[in-house]
Amino acid sequence: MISELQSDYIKELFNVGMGAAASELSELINDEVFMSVPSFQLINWQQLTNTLGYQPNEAVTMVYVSMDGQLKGRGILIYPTTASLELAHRLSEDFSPLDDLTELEEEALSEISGIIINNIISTICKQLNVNAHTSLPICERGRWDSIAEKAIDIDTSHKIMFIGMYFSIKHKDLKGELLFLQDGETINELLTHTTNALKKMGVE
Amino acid sequence: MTRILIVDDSLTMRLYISTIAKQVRIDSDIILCASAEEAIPYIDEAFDYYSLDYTLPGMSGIELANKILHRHTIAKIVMVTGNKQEAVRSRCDAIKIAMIVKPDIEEPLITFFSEEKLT
Repeated sequence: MISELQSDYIKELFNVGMGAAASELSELINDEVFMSVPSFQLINWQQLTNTLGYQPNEAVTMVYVSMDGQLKGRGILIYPTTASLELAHRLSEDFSPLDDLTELEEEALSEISGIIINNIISTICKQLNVNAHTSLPICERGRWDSIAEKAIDIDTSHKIMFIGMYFSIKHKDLKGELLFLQDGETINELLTHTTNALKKMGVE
Repeated sequence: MTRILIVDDSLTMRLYISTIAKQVRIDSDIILCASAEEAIPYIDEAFDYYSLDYTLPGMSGIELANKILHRHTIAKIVMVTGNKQEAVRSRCDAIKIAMIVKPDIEEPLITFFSEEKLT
């Protein structure tokens, strides 16, 4: 069981990590990045697919980073494809029509997602005093039903930390959904470290 | 009695900032609000210190700070935020309020709450 304080603090860590990422991104694109308050849920695969609400044939772009160490699992950003194309175009400064995700654009999208996921992992590791090594970001694009399981790549009976977050750049609403997937053992370890961090802060 | 208003959507942060405030101001009356809207009923009351989060559901921390300053022109306000973008810093500078970047907030908040009260 996860307590209200544990889930609140984990959400706050994602918020702070996203804040650090927004700062890095705003310097990269020379513009302000607006972000929402994230939501947090610990849910199973079926609940997640219901929450995300993608149709099996819906086109999405996913960028994922694998992590190992005390914080094992995967950080994933899911973008509806139109939004991801706009974002990639902004980053790659390519003003060609929004019809295809070129290699350059995939690279740009991987970069922005890597910045977001790595800033969040780094914040969690620092505040909870745990370690994690991360892979390079990998970008997959296609129908939801064909790439979801490949990107997620864990036993779907496990609990999933789902962080719903939204951000926008220069008044273009770009929606991204952020998922952190861990197995039960890692989630339990994360909760133990969360409790320790809260005790240290004098918040119990 | 020192009066402190803390606004943060995170319960953990509200309690943590309150704990830090009590280290400095043991005998204090602290009001905790989870949103700017929750803080609005207190806006006409005078507080010695205000700790506001920037990213809040609904009205932002900077909008709330502006409303507070409209009523209490020399209020001591600090923006405690994870959003350290230059644009955010500029907005705080424009209305002459301090900014503390999460997560390393304990020492700068102790300094803030140690500042002399206005009243």
